Amino acid sequence: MPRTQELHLNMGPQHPSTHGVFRCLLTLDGETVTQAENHIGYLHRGMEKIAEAKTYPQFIPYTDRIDYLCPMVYNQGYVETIEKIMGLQVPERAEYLRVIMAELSRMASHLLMVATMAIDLASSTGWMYALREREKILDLFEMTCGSRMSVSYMRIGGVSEDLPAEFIPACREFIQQFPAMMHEIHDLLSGNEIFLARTKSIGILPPDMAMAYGITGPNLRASGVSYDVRRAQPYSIYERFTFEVPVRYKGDCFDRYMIRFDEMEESRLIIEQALENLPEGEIKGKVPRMIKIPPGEVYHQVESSKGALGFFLVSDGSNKPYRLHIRGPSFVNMGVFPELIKGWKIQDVISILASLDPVLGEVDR
Amino acid sequence: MYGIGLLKGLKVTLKHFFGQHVTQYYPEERPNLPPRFHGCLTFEPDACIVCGICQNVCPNRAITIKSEKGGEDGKKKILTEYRIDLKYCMFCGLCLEACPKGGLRFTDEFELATYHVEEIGRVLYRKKVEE
Amino acid sequence: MDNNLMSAELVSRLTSRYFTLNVLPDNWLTKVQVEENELIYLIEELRDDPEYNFEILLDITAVDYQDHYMVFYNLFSIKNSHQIMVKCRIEHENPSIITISDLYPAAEVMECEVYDLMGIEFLSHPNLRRILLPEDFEGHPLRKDFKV
Repeated sequence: MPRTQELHLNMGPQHPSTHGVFRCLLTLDGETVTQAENHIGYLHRGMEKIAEAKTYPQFIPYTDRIDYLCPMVYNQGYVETIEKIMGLQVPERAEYLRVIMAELSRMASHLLMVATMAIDLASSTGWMYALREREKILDLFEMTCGSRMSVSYMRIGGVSEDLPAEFIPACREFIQQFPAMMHEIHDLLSGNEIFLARTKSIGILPPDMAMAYGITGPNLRASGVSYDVRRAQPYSIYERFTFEVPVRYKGDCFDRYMIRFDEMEESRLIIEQALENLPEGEIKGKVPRMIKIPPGEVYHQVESSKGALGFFLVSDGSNKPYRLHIRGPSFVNMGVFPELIKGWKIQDVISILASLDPVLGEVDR
Repeated sequence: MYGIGLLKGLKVTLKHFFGQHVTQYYPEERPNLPPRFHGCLTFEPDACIVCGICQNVCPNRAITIKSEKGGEDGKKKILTEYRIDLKYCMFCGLCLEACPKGGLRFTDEFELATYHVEEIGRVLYRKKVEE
Repeated sequence: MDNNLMSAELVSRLTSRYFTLNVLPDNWLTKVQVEENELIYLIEELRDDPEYNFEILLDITAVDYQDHYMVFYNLFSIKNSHQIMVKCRIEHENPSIITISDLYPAAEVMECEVYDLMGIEFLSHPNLRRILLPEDFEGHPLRKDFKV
């Protein structure tokens, strides 16, 4: 008598498509997922506890390492939180530099998402081509602040260094050739029949479910909800730029993939405008040597490449944070994953995970 | 027609197959690093006034300074050892910015891996003991 | 910097309906403090009333103030573009609070995180477990009396 039974399968932690060390305990009926449970924390470094032991400027290098794919936005979010509670004015030029760097970082992060999605779906060529473009952005970072990934570029009250002379021509050149390169990736990947079969109408995330699970960022916008922190709660100087908030409506893996391209296009336009209007002047405002923050609390949000990134700072008047909480968008986005993969086949789990684009440094913090 | 997307992709790769290389043959070919590159630190002992700011500003306390009392009146601090523990260094550059005399600098040396963990710390300066 | 305050009328409607609700001054977002017994009703109303319409739960976190804990809920409304921070004070001895994961599924992982790192128990939570730290870890690291 043939007998069927459910199978428990550990996906990860050393699975190449989990983008780090993430384990998902799947319960399978044949190839179909019936139950799933996330197991995270393999990369937990206790960032929030570390922050309580460091002075305010000393925590800046740590913020790079939370989301190591989009470090500039993390830098920006952290320093703006402190500037918000201190009421510091940042020089114009520094604001523009921050925006340029943050948008470049967002592009780098989205390119990596495209690359990892390609390789998870077994297209190693797509991975190489997207990473080649990302490399150019990292070269721009290296030229400006000396590091490629853990940049530590921003400082409380400004940025650490001014642009080198060769940055603006190099950045302009990159911006100019970028659409052609996007076209190339579209030719290579977005029209590929195998890729389409594995992403279209797979892992549909309806808008109600997305909002109930607190999804933010491109994943939410791919489900048809137009929420972008840059537009809804403008920070820095984002209200000066004209840009669209791209929205797609189907909420499947392919839409979540395509919305990254739309966002890169918008980032490109923002950088173009910022380079056009980049003023001369100081890059760092007047900041006391010893940064002490009056007692109080502040919540500040910025739009990271993964979603709404929040910093919640409680100060007790000393030179160290009393409590710093970081709302990692990937951490919240991963909450929907067990629900989302129910009923899909095991190979779809890979596409869904790739399209959600978690970064495990941020999930575990 | 099914398969047209695949052919389009092949066209792109074929174009690059005959195009320029973008990769580097790394150990033989050295990377072209920008002047601001954050490599290993160097230190000018003559500029140092042993204020200890770099030691305090470092997030991971990677820098250790040892000094002794000396000079003409016996009160001046004289540097005897300047040590950086590279396994803790994050190459963030906060010490460079904090140094009032500009005595610290990044070099473009990036191959800092060692075979043994004891070797990874680096002594940037040590006072010669006079016989 | 733009603010996302709720209109004064909406805030005063809240204060008239909840006895324990206090409005705290803040420049950037509406901040209210409420007692534990009214918390769940407040959050349910904030979610369901079309004038408040807080669709997204952004964040749950907690702070250890040595003599008490404070739990923070951050809600955001995309439609009305306003944000509210709800604070709730709880005792330091055996801290516990009611879960809101039946209102917002997003709260499930956030409450697990708060439980894991701060040791606040969320009553009737479907699956309260150590989410970041290993199962056999002792203590809750974000408490002030936890020594590294």
